[in-house]
Amino acid sequence: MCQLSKVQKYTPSKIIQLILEGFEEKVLDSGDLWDCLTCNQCLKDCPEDINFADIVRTARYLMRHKDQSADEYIAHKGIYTTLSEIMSRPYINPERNMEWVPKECKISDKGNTLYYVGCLPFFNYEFEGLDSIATSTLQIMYKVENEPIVVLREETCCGHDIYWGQGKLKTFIKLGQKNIEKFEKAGVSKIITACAECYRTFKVDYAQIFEEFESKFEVKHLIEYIYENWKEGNIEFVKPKKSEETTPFTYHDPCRLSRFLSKENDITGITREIFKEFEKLGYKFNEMKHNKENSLCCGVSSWMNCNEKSKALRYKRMLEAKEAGTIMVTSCPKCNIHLSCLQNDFEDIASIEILDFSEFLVNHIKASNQSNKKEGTN
Amino acid sequence: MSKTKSKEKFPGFNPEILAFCCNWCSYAGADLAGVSRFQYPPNIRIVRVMCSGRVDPSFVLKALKEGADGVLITGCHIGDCHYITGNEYAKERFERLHEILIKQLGINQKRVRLEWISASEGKRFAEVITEFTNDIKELGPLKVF
Repeated sequence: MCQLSKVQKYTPSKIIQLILEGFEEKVLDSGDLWDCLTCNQCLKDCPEDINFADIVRTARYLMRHKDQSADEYIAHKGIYTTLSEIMSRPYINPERNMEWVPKECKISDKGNTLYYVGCLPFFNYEFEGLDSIATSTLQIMYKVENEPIVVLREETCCGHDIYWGQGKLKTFIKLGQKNIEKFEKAGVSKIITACAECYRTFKVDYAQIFEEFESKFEVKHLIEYIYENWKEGNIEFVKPKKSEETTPFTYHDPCRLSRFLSKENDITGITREIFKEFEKLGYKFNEMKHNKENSLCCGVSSWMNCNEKSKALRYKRMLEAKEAGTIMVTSCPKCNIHLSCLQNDFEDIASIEILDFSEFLVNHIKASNQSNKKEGTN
Repeated sequence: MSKTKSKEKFPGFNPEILAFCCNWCSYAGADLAGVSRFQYPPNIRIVRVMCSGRVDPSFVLKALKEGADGVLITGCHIGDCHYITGNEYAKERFERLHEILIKQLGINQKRVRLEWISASEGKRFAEVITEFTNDIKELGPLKVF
């Protein structure tokens, strides 16, 4: 069932029916498709496998070309999407803030493994504490890798929000070309990211649009990266403090890491496997009522439609989280932003600690031993 | 004239500058500059806003996106705001925009500027515009292909 239909009248099936019956123009003119969350819950339930989010994305492209303005739907007055658009220009070379890089971690601009940070340094404009996601991710990677990790100062946006939110295909392609050029210049073959949206964009959209992207670069989310290294025995999970208490925690599956990936890609499964191991470390993993492919939406996607309806959706999610535990882990910085933002408005859910996957794991990971560490990089 | 031209780094470059002026001080300052016939370069396009606090950072970013070479925000002096604290908000926002967004985009920070100009400072208005235009001329166009 459409997640948006829980808070407003919205029927994807009716829209599909209208399109099939030849009323495509009517659907586009009505502007209804600006409201869609592109959470892809309808694809999950669809017996005919209709990819509604893809239709919405294409429709948004057509709607903009019909002189419909998306401005009133864009959150934060379009600051972040405008930033992406500025970055897509060939004459702009970002000089991103590198203060978050921890002192003990060596970074370089050429090498094999790249950590793709994403928009985190730009979010400092309005949000606080997001730098620690980048810091923790780099600390985790540093425990495994022997060589300095590549972090690009002039990294550009992956283009996810422009592509899904406003259907700006040309800007997306420009950003993609700029990114690939930079990756090639740095000589990387492996891209690690801690952001669900960047991951999906590289893994699926770039692979579709740019030839050879898939063969040139290996893209991994931090979860996969940790899981593989754990299975290979390069790292182990440890308990930093000795305490008898068990902390109940829960995990919020971002749509980009569950419904938006192909069925072979089992990130939701391996996340659970890691969490099962955490039961030995004084944690208790509880599932929320809606989990994995059925998880509820964080309410906002691609900086579109942040309003009272999306707040209602977020509130529902937080109530489920409150039932399940005191810590809520997520692997999408945007979900983190949207859900923490709501905590300022409602006191009853303010007690839940929202952590990124990297922040949650950073103190629990230890490299098995030095010799293993060296092997791991080869 | 030819002498000054040869000195220019980017000959023939006429910057396009967007200026946001608040209704109560800076716009009146611009008026006074006009009435008093102070000369200033014709490169600016003025947008009148009710208060400098009305200028959202997204306006500045949009201007840069659409091809402005520089953006100037002007308002009443601190303490003189018609709406009491509007310009304090403008200052706070501007600092964040300047330090976090403009800097990280790799755009020279000199291209975006905040100035306080009161209604009686027609002369100063002309000076600020002249100085800012010269700065931008020095930096060259934002779009370099």
